[in-house]
Amino acid sequence: MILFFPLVFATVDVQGDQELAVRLQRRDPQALGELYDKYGRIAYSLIVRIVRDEGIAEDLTQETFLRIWNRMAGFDAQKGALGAWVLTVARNRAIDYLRSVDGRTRQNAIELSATESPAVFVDLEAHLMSSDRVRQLRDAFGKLNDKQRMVIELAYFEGLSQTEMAERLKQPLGTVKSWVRTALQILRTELEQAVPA
Amino acid sequence: MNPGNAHQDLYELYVLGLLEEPERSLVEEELRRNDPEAKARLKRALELNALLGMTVPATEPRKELRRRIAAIAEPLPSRAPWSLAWAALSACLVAGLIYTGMQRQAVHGELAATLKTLDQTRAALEIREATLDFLRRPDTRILKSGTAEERRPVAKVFVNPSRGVLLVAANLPALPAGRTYEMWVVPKAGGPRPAGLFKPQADGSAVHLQTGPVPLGDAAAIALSDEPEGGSPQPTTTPFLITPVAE
Repeated sequence: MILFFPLVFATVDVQGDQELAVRLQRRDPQALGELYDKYGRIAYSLIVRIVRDEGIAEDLTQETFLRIWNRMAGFDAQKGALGAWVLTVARNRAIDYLRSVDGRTRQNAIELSATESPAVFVDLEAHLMSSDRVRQLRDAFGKLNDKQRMVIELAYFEGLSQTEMAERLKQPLGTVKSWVRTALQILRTELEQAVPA
Repeated sequence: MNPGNAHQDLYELYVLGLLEEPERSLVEEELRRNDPEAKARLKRALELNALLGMTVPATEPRKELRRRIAAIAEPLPSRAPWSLAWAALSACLVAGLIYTGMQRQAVHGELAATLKTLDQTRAALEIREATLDFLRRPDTRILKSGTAEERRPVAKVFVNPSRGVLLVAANLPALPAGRTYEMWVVPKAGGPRPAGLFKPQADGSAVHLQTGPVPLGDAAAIALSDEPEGGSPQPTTTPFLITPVAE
């Protein structure tokens, strides 16, 4: 049985991220601790939600911040979105772990690495992680039906491809693709409508 | 529908690492072309991906986790006593394990190289600390490969299902410019999975730690191959030092 995740949203204040990124690039030792103070709790919470084991989540959170620290040189401190990058790396570490223990390691692992490159996290929305945006996403989730919410959860928190979802849910692939596409369209449309022009 | 959103959902699945063929190749081709529409779709997908990550219930980590993460960036001088102690202990453990099965000369060379590296770079210290942590875990197992014959490649492989694979090798042939060694986890079914790149020391010794969980139940062997700089998704030369993973 699939349990829908409770929409208990966390928020972070992204003020000062630019300066923090510059200090991280200068290898300021205190900056990594400050990065953790800012994004560690949400990254850890996300990993716990995915792997459902706090000990493993601690190890994966450490790997997340080690990866961020080692790859800071490729990050655009002026235009980069630090929080979005941390969360993406955190999710990828957790999904890689799930895939490895499930024997699902395959070419998708390469995709995950490709989409967490620091270079791609530029020019994202300035207030991406603001409480307003989080609330707007919560409202958007309210527009999804149970099936649509289920496939988004399977994709995001379990890392299942549409083919794997179809097998898990014993539904035709086309049906699952339709649920996924509609769910994403609803979320996207609701979020875009909520953004002031 | 907004034409810019034409196949936005493909990008959202791509960012989630879930897009399958043939759509994945389509997205990657658009991104390779540096298409502004593609970049905009990628940006929107990254934003949604990050926002989804904030939908989870807050869970408070232990305070110990902050100390572990802050330690990643601590400069060597401020923790020299502990660093040296850990480094020495790590080196002794590695050396002791190697000593039983490998040539004495290779051990001394590797130990000297390890200590030198530990003194020189923080990155090397991280590797040694991770190695020590790996070795002291009760569920880490040792596998052996090769023989101790003069100048033949020889390796000991330590495996831990939740932590990764540690390779300690000696007598590896020197690599020409533009080549590297790549380690592989060979599953019982399917192609080998990349497990990191490394280059040996001048004396042919090498210590390579690939962190991350290893599904040992599915693994048949650990192997090496000689690959182009940057590695390969599958071996392009015949793998050697094939070390079986016993059940």
